[in-house]
Amino acid sequence: MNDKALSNRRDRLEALLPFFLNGTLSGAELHEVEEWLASDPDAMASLADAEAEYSATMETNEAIRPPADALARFSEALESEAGPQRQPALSLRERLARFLPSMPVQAAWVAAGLAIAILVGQTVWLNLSERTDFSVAGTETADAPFAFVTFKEDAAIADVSAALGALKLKIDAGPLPGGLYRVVVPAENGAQYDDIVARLQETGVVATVVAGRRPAE
Amino acid sequence: MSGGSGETSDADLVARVARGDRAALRLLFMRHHARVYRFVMRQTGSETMADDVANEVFLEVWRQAARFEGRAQVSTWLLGIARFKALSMLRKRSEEALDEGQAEAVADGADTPEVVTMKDDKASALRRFVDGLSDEHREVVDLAYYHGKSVTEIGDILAVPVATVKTRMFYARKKLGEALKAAGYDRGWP
Repeated sequence: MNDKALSNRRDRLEALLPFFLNGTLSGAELHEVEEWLASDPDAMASLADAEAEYSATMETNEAIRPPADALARFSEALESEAGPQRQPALSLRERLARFLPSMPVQAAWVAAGLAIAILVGQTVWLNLSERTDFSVAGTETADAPFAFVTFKEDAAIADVSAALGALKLKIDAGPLPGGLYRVVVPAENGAQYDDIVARLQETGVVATVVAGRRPAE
Repeated sequence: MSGGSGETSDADLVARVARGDRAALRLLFMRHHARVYRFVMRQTGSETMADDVANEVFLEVWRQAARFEGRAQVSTWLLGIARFKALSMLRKRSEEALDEGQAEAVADGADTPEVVTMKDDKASALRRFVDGLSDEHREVVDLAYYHGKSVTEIGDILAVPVATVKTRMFYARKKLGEALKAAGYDRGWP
């Protein structure tokens, strides 16, 4: 290898030293640098120079201090974001609109006719039936303590259900205007009520809790 | 940073963010904000811009997490977004007059190596020379030494071929060596 070829090789290997130091070099290039370091005394001096650059770059970067309140301010900005674009939930009408056009016309009429027949049948059955062993939501909890709750917009239904279940809470009305839900609170006294409401607030799925009917002490 | 054993990986966090999990994004922010902030600060020299861009990067992750394909490390993806946003912001502000702080910074950086080195030792001289590299050269030095990126990853972040990354690294190191030699310090190469 002549002087020029040696010089070119040296230049190329010098450019790879930072990647040898940061551990991202691999394959033939890694092998070549290792071989150079093992065989050429100048290579170790070059490695020491690169290490000094490494330290200087680390120090000069770490001297930059991000603002201490960065996370708090970012969280505020994040709360005002609508959220990632996701597939919007389809209403029943939209789902039907997507479903029916894909059916042959005659089949669509048959499906619509069947749906109407089922609805009429259910109505007649319910009207004629004398059974009364069902309850209307709210009637059995008419005098029970309750609170009004709004849930975080990103709270999953499963998480809401688990959080309410853990506290033995039930939604008995809602959503009311403002996204409020009325939640029955199984408390026998005021202290118990306050405790349950506080624990509800800490669940992570709730945005706000407003006291409703609170039992006396 | 992809998360150690028992720790949720960055890629998993991005997947959760794509499903609308704000807590996952906050965790990602805590892991990577400092590095993103420093990267932009080094590019722009402005704390305000670094703060704005770093915040914007993570809000962009919130909006676009579903588009993360997992081909690159999350940190590489973040730095790529940060660089693009920083350059856009620099372009937008290029016509605005330099404020007092920036003007002082330029004047400070304009000291000759000889003048500066008289009051510095070799290590602090080298820090100044790294800071004084051109933007193109300092970027590759920062990305390799501080951010621990490979040649390929730096190529992805800067949107240049790997050969360009190596060439820039070669000249960056050459300039550092020349500056040290000119300041009277030992240096084997170039």
